[in-house]
Amino acid sequence: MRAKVIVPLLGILSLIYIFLLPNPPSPVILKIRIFRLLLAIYTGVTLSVFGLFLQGALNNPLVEPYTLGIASGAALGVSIGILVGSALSINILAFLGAVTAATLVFFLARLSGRLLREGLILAGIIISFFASGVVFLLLVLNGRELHEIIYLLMGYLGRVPTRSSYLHLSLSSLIAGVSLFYIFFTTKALDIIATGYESAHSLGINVNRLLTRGFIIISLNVGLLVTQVGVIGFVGLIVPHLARLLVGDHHRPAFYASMFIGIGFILIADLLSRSLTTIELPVGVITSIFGAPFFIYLMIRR
Amino acid sequence: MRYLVLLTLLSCVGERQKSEVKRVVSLAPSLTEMVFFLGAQNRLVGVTTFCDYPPEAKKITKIGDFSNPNLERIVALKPDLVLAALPEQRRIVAELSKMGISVFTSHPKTIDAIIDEMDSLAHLFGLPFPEDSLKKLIYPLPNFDRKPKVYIELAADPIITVGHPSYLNDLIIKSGGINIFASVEVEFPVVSWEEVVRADPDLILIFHNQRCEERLGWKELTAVKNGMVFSGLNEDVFLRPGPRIFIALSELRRIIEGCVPRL
Amino acid sequence: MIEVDGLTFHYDHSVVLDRLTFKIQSSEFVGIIGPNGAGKSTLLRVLGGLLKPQAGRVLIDGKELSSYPLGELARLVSFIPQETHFSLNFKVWDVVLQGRYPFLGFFKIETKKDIEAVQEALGKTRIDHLADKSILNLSSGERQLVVIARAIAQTSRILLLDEPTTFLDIHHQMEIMSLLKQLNDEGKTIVMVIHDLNLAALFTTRLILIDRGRIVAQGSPEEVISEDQIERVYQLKVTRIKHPARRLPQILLG
Repeated sequence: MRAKVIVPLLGILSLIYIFLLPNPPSPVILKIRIFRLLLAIYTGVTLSVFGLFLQGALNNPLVEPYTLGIASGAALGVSIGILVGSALSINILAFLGAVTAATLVFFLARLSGRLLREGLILAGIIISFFASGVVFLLLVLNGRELHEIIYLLMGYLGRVPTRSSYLHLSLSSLIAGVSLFYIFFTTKALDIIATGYESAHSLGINVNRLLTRGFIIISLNVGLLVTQVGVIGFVGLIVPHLARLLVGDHHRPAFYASMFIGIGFILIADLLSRSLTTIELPVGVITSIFGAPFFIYLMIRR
Repeated sequence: MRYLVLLTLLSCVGERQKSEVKRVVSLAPSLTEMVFFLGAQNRLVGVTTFCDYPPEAKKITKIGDFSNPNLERIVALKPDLVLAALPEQRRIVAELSKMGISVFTSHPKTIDAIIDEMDSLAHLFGLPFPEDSLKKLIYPLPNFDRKPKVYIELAADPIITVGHPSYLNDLIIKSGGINIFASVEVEFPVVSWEEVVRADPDLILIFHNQRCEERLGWKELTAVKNGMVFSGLNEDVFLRPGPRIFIALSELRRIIEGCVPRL
Repeated sequence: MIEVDGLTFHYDHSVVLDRLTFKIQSSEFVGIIGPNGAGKSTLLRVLGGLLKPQAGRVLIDGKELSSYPLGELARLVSFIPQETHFSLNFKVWDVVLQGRYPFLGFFKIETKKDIEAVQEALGKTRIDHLADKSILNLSSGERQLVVIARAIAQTSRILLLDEPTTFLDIHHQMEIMSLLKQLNDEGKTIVMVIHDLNLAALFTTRLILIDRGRIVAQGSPEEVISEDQIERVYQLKVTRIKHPARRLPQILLG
C-alpha cells in the first residue's frame, strides 16, 4: 500500500534528477546523467540494505559500513591500489582493505572488553580515523592533490564516466544484486537475532556463520562501491531507521523500504551537493552534515 | 588582511628601504622567477625545492617546499624580505609578520597584476623595470568576431578548472578566447563533466596526465573533432604566475589563431 | 535419551564442569539445582549446543550432539534463556511464529501447518488474548510465557530452560511450572535449571544436585533434598518438612 506512494515518488525524483537540471539534454548529456542516476541508485540501495543487515545481525542500531570502519578500510585499499597502478588491483585491494578493517574492528571490540555494542562503535571510529589518516599520508606523499583525496574520502557521485565506467557499474550491480538476494533471505533470521543470540541459536540459526558470510559479502560490495564513489557515510545508518519508522521493525518489509528510501535519500543528497554552492560538493559532506546529528540523537536516546 | 596590505604598501612606499633589501627568501617558484627576471638573484638566499627555473635557482639554499615552507629555516637565513604566495601560504605569512619580518605577498588575478607585482618588487629592490615593454607584449588584444570557447582542465578526478578570479581566466581573455567557466566566482572550481560537455568548448587545454579519450561524450566535443586538444603544454610556463607568463600568452595566442579558422 | 559422559568444560583456567556423567530418559522432568557458580547454566548451555565442551561427550538419541546440523538440532531441542530482552516492536503472534523457523523452507515462507502450530502453542500457554499485543508492552511474566509458547511452537521434544521462574511473581511461577508439567505429561523431556528448591521438589520427577562442577547427588526430590545434603552444599542450616497437601519435601530456612 505504501509502495504505491513511494515508487511514483521515486520515479518523479529520478525524472527531476535527469531532466530538471538546467537545459534540455542532448543524447550525450542524457547518457552522462543516467549514468550518475544509476550510480546513485546502486549506492543508495547497497548502503541502506547493508546498514539494515548489520544493525540486525549485530543487534545494534548504531552500525553501518561507515561507522564500522569498513568503508574507510576500502578507501585505504583504493589508495594503495592507486599507487600500485592497475585497475584490477584497485578493486581487489579495496575488498581486502574492507575485510581487514572489519576484522580489526571486531578484534579491537572484543579486546576492549566493553559491551559489544559500544565496543564496536568505538573500534569502528578508531579504525575509520586511522585508515583515513593513512590514506591522506599515502596520497599526499605521492604527490596527489588534497582535493582528490577529499573527494575520495567524502564520496563523490560525479566522477567522469568513461566507457569502462558503465561496465564497472554493471558488474558491481550484478554482484550487489546477488548479495541483496542473499541478505533478503536472512531477514527472518535477523528478526530472531533481535531477540538474542542464544534464542537465535536455539532456533537453528548459526549466528557466527551468518555474520562471517555477511561481512565478506558486505566487504566485497563496499570495496567495489568505494572504488567508484569513495566513502559516503551515514546513509547506511539513517535509512534503516527511517525504513523501520515507516513499515515497522520486521526486517522483510524494512528491506524493501530501505531500498527505496535509500535511493531517495542519496538522490536528494546528490541534488543538494550540486545546488548548494557554485562548486560541486562531495556528497559525503551532505550526508555527514545530516548524519552526524542524527547519530548523536540515536546514541543519546539509548 | 589589512596588516598584509599595510606591510606591502609600506614596503613599496619606503624607497629608503630599497638598499636595505639585501637578503630575500622566495616561497614560490613564480616569485623566484620574478627575482631572477629583475636581475636581483644575488640577493636571493633561500628558495623552495620546486624553484627550478632558471637552473641557477636550484643551487640556492632550500627552505622547504611550496605547501610546507620551513619557518625555522627561513628565519635562520635572516631575510630582509620574504616573498610568499596567497592564499596557499596565508598561515606562514601571518607567522612571519608576527615576527616582524617583511613579507611581500603575491596573488595576481590578471596578467596586468603580474606585471604590477613585478613592478612593486623592482621598486623594493631599487631596480629598473621595463613596464612599458611588457605591456606592449599584451596590448593590443586580439579581437576575433567569434571568440573560441576555451576549457582548461587542471585535474581530472574530480574535475578542476579555472574560474573568473584566476589569472588563467585573464590569460584566455587576453589571448582572444572565452573561458567557458568565466562566470564562476571561484578561482579553481570543481565542476561536473556534464557542464563541460554542455558548454562544448572549441579548445581544450589539459594540464594533467590522465587519459581523457574514454570519457562519455569526449568524442562528440567540437574541440576533439577539430583536433583542438592540447595536453603537452609546459605546465611551469602556464601555471606559474611569473615572468614566463608572456611565453604562455604568445603560445596560447598562436594556438587560438590556429583555432579561429575552424569555428 | 540424553547421555552425558565425562563432560568437562572450563573457561580459561577455571574448571566449571568436571567430568560429569549422567543420563536423562525421555519424558523425564529434570531439575538441575545447586549453589551459584556451580556450573548449572553452563551445563544447560552445553546440552543445548550453545557451548562446546573441552572433553567428554553428549549424546542425544544416541547421536553425538556436535554431529547434529544446527537446523536438525533446533527441531529437537529448545533452549529458553532466563530472560529475553525484546528491543524490536513485534507482536506476540510474530514472536511465537519465530518458533517455526527451523521448519521453514529455502524461501522462508510460513505454511498453514506453521500457523496451526502457533495457534496451538498460544492455546496451551493460554495467551491467545495477547496474540495481537506488542511484546514490548507485556509484563515479564507474560513475556516469559510468550518465549515458552515459541518453544512449544518449535515442537521440540526436549525443552531446556534456564531458571525460567526466577524473575517472576509466585502466580506466574506456578503458572509456568504447571504448564511445564502439562507439557511433560504430553511427552516432552524437560531439563530445567532452577533456584527454588521447593518449586523443584513439587514439580520435577528427578533432581540433579551440582556443586562446583560435580554431581553431588541425583534422584527423586525425596532422595536429593535432605537436610544433610542441602546444608553441606549450600552452607546453610535448613529444616526439611513434608508439604502438608502434596506429601513432597520442602525446605524451610533456618
